[in-house]
Amino acid sequence: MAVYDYPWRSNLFLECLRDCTQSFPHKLGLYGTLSGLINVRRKEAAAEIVASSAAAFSDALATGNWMDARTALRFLGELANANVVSVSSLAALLKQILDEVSSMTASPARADQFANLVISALPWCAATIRRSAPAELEEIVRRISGHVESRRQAGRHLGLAALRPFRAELAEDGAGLPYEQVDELEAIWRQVSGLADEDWKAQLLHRPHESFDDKLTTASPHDLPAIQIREETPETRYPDQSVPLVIFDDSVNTGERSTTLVSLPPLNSPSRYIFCTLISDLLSILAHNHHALHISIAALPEYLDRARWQLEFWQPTHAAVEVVLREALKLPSPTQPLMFYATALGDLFRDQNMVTEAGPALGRAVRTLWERSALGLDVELSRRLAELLAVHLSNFGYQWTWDRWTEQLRRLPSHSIQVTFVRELVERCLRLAYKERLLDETLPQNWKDEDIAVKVLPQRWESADEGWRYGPKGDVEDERLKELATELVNALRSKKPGTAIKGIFDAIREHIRAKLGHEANEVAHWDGDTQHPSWDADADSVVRDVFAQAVMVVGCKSLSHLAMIVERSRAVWNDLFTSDLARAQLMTSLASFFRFRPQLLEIWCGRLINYRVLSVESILAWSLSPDHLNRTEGADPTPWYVLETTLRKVTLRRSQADERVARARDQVAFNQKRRDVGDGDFVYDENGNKFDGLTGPITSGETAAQREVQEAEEEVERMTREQKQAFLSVLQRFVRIITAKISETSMEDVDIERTPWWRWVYGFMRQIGREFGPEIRTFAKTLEITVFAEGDVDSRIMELWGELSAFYDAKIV
Amino acid sequence: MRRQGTSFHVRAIAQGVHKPDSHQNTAAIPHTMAAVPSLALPSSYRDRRNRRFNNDAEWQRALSGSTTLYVGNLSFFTSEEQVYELFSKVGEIRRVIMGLDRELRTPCGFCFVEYYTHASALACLQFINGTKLDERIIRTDLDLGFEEGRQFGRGKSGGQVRDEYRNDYDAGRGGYGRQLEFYADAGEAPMGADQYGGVGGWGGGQWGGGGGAEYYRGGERLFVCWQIPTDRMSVKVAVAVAVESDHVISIRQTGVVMGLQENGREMTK
Repeated sequence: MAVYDYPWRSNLFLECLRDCTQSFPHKLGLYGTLSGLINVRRKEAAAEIVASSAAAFSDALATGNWMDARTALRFLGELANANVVSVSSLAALLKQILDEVSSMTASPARADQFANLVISALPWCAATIRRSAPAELEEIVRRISGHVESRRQAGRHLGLAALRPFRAELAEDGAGLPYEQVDELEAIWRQVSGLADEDWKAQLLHRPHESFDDKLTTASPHDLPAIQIREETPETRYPDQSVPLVIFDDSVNTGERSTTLVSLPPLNSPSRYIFCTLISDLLSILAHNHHALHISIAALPEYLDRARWQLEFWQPTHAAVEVVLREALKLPSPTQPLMFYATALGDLFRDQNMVTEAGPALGRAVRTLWERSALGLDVELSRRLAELLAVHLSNFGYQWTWDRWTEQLRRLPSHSIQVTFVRELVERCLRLAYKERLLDETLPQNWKDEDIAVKVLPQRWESADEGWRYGPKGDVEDERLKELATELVNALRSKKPGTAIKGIFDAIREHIRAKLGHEANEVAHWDGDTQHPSWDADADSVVRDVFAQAVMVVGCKSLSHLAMIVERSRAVWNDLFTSDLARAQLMTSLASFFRFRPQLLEIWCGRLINYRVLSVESILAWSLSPDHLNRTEGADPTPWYVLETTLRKVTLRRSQADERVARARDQVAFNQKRRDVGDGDFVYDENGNKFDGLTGPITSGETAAQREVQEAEEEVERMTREQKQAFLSVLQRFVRIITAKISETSMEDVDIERTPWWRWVYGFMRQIGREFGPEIRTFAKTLEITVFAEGDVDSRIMELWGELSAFYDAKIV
Repeated sequence: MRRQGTSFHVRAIAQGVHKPDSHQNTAAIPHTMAAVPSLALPSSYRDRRNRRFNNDAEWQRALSGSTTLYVGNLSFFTSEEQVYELFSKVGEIRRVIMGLDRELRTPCGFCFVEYYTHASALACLQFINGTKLDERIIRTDLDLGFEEGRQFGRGKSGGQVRDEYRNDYDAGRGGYGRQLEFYADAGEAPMGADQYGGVGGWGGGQWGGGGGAEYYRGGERLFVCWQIPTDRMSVKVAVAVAVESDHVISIRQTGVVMGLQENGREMTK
């Protein structure tokens, strides 16, 4: 569109410009210079651009879209560079934003967010402000420094304890971290304040406006319109000032060009900030289109000062790998599903411009994290990394330098975090591949040696039903019982009626009673009663076990089989598994049947909760059983998988109930709308269907809608109660087992905080508290009274609760 | 007058997170205008159920709350658990329905994944579509929802239609296309078939001449196979078509791609 078309197409032009600036943050320099050239030819058009860009900034502030606000402010900086916006008005805007930082009424989160906005804009505009108004820049920097200093004094620069990737207290051998762990604001200020050494001119940024300076200066700049910053309300939310994970710190990034595998600017340099912030912005902005994302990342160097990064041998791809992993491993949770980061990472390997650098960089990053995991990496991050890497490897034929781990795997104990990482990685890969592909064709053959195999290779059964205790390979020795069990399986398969199945149950009970009676007679002279209460209990428990396992044999063929068999035998389930004890037993049967198929165990638990056969409580009891945790030092991932899946299920149910209420209320509101328009008029529903207005008596549809609202609200109430009960129970159980362990080890003179048990169990408690924060925080007060009552609970547990409470109190999106 | 916040609309529509207000909002900007369109959109493929809808807008609207995805290009050997493992990474799965060969009742390379929420289905289009499962690039598309019977292949031999006429060798999807295999099982071989090392049952060539063939046999199902012999390493086979008697298949030699005719009607080029 030629500039001559502007008067006729100004809306289109402004929309496109706004969309492009917000979609391609790395091209702001070009858009700024283009606006400058327009300013030379058409001043009124440039005035509209300024108004539109300022509106973009204030819109983003008003809607709490901090990402857009940051980009819009940077663009205003570029407009000042191109002489479209007057420097004084830009400086005034920055100072207006800093007023929010120093405001007495602003919450700490708000102050940090507004400081973040200004710091993020400085690399783009500081040089211009310094040239025209050095005193203004000095004041801005002084005010930011003041804020940062006050945070340091309050200890806030270390970030929320619950969100730190590395936990110093878990470090083995007391080794410290290779870099200082600080929160995001502190980290970026350390980087951006380095601009002072570059005369406030970010060297890495490409400055197209400099090529046109003689032209651009012929036009006169515009003042920014006044921008209203909306006051903080209780609903305002801010992005978390997380503690960013650094992978390639200066100790990894040695700078010896001939030998190093990573080549990036030093950690606390403005150039590193520019690389990382642009890539992380692209990851957020283009998450909806990963193809465009990797094209933009690959093209990023073109929009930076090529001479600069090539001279230093910096590799943008290394920064991309670091940022993708950092974002994926963000606490409390990544912004997008983990799958997005796996895809984004894979794309770096599919892009011909990046593939040669991406491989070594990923290898180096994972090895660095793996080696450092012993320095106290949060357990959740270790698991997330394994999951991410497994998906990545499944896209690239599982090619990995597995061999490099062999020696350490031999040496390290099986419950160490490094071995557990490899075990989880193998397990996750196995779930995506078929067994032979991984175990026979991919992993090093010496991993089949006894000493490594027991640590990392999951035991697998050939077929799902090999866990069948009453089958030919089962561990039950009672032949008659096996026969009856097989009969039951056949009855279930051939859809025999309930009476036939109950007949088999009776036969089993009879057999067990007879057997127990016979044994008792042999051991002692029994008093001759015809029935013995404990034998009945035993007989019932055998019936339950046989039935549960029989259902699993029939249902394990596929999930559809499972659904079918559970539906068909619903009446029997309801008869057999009525008590808590019976349900706990069902969970034990399930876990035993699928002990080498953790994925199926997870899926089955989820399904059986849905069918209300299995209770949440019984799964929690199994997952957090002290015996199992003690036996495996908490390093067996299966109970944690199951626990997480169950809690997610509980949360999902609640959100589904919420949706049902919302739908029902919408329907009632729509009916009311039809009543309001009355006869002869019509309204449209959200799908565009036309409905006539309503008059006369209440219709059955309206009554049904009202009833639905009532029922849905009751369901929400029920689900909320259930959810609260589940989280209360899980935290109670954690407190109980940790307290028991503390008192147990206090006798043995062991520092419990240095044990693997502590790392896993205490770490998972933190993970659950963090992951389900939105749910738990709604009844934090109840928890404080019931579970975390001061004085009753060990100080270390209270410390963790303190961490979590601080996290819940922070106003985080 | 500049419309306030339009840019947000453009991007939000493009990201699939924002629905235009209603049918009355004719000013809604199409996603194609956005700087970067979203991947969370259904493809242009229309299945036979599209006939229920009067136009594309209705079809799109029907899909706008869909929680089901069609997943294609799976290996026949990919298990339900593998599908579950990958697809559960973007949301809770309600159920997975494996596509089965109508005749054999074995997996035939596609499935339906049903989530609890529409957002999960969109996330799947954005993040999983085009990545690999079991070392094959899979394709996902929004679907109107599973109906009984859709789990079966719609191809003539029971599998998927695309496996009928495929002329490459795909180990993950049962080797060569079904028509080719059927032909091979019948022991009839086209010219040059002896160049094949991997396919059993192909005898010597019984037809002379390369290129086009006209073949007719009344009263029975008939396969005509036609091949352009090239070198051993890259044999390009163009295979045609099963027809139900009485019709002459005419295959023109137009490079590798041929016009195929079924019952006298041109099917594809």
